[in-house]
Amino acid sequence: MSVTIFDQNQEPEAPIDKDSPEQSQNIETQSDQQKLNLQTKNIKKILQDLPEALRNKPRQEKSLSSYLVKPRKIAYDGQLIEETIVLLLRQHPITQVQKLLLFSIGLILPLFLMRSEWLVFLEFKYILGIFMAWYLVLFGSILNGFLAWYFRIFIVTDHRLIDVDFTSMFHKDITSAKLEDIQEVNFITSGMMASLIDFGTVYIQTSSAIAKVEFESVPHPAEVTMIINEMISHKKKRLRRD
Amino acid sequence: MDNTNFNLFINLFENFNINNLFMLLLKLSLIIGSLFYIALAVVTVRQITIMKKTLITETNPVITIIGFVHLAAACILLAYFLLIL
Repeated sequence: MSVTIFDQNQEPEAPIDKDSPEQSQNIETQSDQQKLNLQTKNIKKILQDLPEALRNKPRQEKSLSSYLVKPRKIAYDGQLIEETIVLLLRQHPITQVQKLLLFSIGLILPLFLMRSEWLVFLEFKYILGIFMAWYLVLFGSILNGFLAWYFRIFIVTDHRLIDVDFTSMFHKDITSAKLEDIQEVNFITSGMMASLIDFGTVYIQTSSAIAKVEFESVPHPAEVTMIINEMISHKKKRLRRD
Repeated sequence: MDNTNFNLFINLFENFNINNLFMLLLKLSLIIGSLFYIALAVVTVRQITIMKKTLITETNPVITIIGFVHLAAACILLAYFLLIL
């Protein structure tokens, strides 16, 4: 006898409208709010249809988190109407510590320069201007660092995996792989810090032209691997059933 | 060149010293630098606009506002360099 434990985050099952004319349509034409509502609706719809490991996981609602399970108010470009995001990942915040340290040094550096004598020959209005420029550049760097982290996402949906690389302002690379095309999923946790805090890189081998998709430095790589594997077997079962 | 203009031209050379030249170069560098920075801030706003279409969340409007605040601050800095220095 199998016993299924449901948590409080779960919504009651809703029938999946498989013959809906909306199927396989893109959500491009809809407004942002409609797209977000659609994800919320889809999550409710497919909740009972998800693998058990994922179904019983508590939902994370914070959009600034690096590990979001069954997120509600989130959608992505190119999402199909019946497609649902089950996992959204970002790099573990610990990977940003180096940048944060540099920014902290940048924040206090002018305070030390103010005490030095080489600024004495400059008029106050020049000193003020240079300091304002320094802090503005620092603010811009922090903003760009944040954007590079925030928009570098790894998405697992009930149809495919998407890797959005936004490493700098001038580099954007989106890779996606259908779940049925995935051949192998493994992960590497390397280093003492990664082992202690539990983050690592998940490698996804596919049969398509894009040989490999990498989810770099994501939290809980073992759990992510398990969820992807479950989603793949679930998708294959569903395809066989249809 | 009439007499008044000629006097101004002479005064410029009479008042010239290395300190003034340095200040002039510094001001020019700051203005050119802030012009480039405004271009960078515009690119950031443009990137935010593109990326918020890629990932749609409820936080996106806040990020857009921060991008515009950054651009406005860059413009204010340029105005400071042009008008105050």
